[in-house]
Amino acid sequence: MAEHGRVETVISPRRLFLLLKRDLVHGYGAILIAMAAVGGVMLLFSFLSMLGGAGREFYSPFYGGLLFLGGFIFTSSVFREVHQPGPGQFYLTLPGTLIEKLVSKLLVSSVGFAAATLLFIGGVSAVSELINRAVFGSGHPLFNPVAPANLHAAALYLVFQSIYMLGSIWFRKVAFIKTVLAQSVLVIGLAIVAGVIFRLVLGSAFNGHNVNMGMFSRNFGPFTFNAPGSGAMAQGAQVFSTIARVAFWALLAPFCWVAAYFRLRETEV
Amino acid sequence: MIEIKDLTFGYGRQKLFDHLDLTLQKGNIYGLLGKNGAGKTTLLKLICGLRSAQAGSVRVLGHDAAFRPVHMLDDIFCVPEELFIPPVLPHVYASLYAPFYPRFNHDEFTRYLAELELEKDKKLSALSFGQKKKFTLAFALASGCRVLLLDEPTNGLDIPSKGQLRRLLARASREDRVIVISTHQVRDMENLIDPIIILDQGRIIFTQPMAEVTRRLSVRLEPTEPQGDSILYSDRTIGGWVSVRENTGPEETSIDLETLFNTVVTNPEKVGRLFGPVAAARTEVHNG
Repeated sequence: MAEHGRVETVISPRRLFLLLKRDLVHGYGAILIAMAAVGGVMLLFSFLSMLGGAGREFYSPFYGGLLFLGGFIFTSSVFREVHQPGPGQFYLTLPGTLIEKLVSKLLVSSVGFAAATLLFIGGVSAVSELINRAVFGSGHPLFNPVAPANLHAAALYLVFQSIYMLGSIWFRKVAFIKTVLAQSVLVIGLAIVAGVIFRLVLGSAFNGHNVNMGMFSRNFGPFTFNAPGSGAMAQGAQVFSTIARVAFWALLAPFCWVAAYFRLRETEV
Repeated sequence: MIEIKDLTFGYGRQKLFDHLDLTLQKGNIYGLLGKNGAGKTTLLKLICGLRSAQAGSVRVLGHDAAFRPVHMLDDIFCVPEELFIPPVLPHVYASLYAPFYPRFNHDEFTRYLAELELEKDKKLSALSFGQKKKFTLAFALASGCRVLLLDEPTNGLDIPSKGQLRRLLARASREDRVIVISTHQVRDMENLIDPIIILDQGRIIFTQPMAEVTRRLSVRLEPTEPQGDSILYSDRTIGGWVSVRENTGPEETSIDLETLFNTVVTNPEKVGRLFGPVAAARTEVHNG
């Protein structure tokens, strides 16, 4: 409780809006330049590809590239100011709760970025196809922002993005590359641990260094796991797939957000 | 308004503050003086929550500063040496940041900008360092915050601007506000900062209101180098020697901040005995 009796609010919509507005106003120049560059490349490539024939799905790779590569690079930079003496001091003493500061950055770089990318690619594809049809009389299929595959990619982005957000607050410099490296090391480590556990727990399914695969298939999140269809191996695969799905869709992002919150709280300049 | 109790803080293994106590009361413009590395900037950072104590506490307006609570942040404004100035026009800056401060006064801000002769239609990033500083100071003074922390506010300011800033600060001083000015440029802040706090090697070796200083210290200009145990400080100057002694009579003499600072840092024990147990670092200043 404050000396003057005002109760601390965790999230004030007014301050959250002010933080979002501030981020957008300071970042709009870079956003416009990036959009112009990506849009220009898309228009050019779309036009050139028409010379080789129409009818192929053209825009999804751009969407995937912009969403994942562009989004991760953008997310890695959202807390860059916190690590710089002048801007960091200013930002950390700006009146706003830690949660407001975290949520404002999260909204811009996760839902905001994914929605903007869907709309942007949709818009550029519409313009591009108008040009193609005017020049060639035919064109590529239009990009559909609400196609299930595109929405699924956006959902995957929202989860993976949280890792890069944590990286942004964790690493002082070159956060994107360091997050990629840290993520790679973590994945390799987890793969080794999982391999050892599988070998120990499900040893009967192994034949020397080979494992009997292909009879059972489970899809969990972005991964697919194959194992024999009966016995301990199948049960193990089922349990593992459930754990992995829950961990990926329900736990990974909240874990990163909470870790980012504490890291932001401990940040000093 | 600001209460530091038993504060211990250091960088790595090197301790900067060891069991430091300090209470700052409203209605004052404190001058925080010290040599390079004495801990002035770090103390300001601890007050606004940019650093957290390793032991002890720093409370500002009743809040634990280390948690940077929002109702502390909207009542405290720190103007650091390294400024953050985004490339926007002054009115855009004000529209972005003034709403964060509930007591921000736009009329005052406009008046301060005019008094400091700042251009309204020039992007802030295009301003000189001194102009950026003046802009930030104008914003800080108009913020309505009850705690203002200014780190080297006159660095980079031209001579007329220093006078303007002094006048603005004097006007911005209020009964419910505490202003802490950390500076090396003591001459720029002459007749403005009071009480004086002197930090040396992480310890507060002096903290007194100027009235007490002039009551207890006597400053003289002497034709020859003064000698004797009663001398607290002496320095050659144009026309003779400036000497500082204990004032034993009813007459009061004025002392400039540079001489006071040199007196205290060259002879902290004697000055400490003269003014009381300030050198022991348990310090509280009540003035006004």
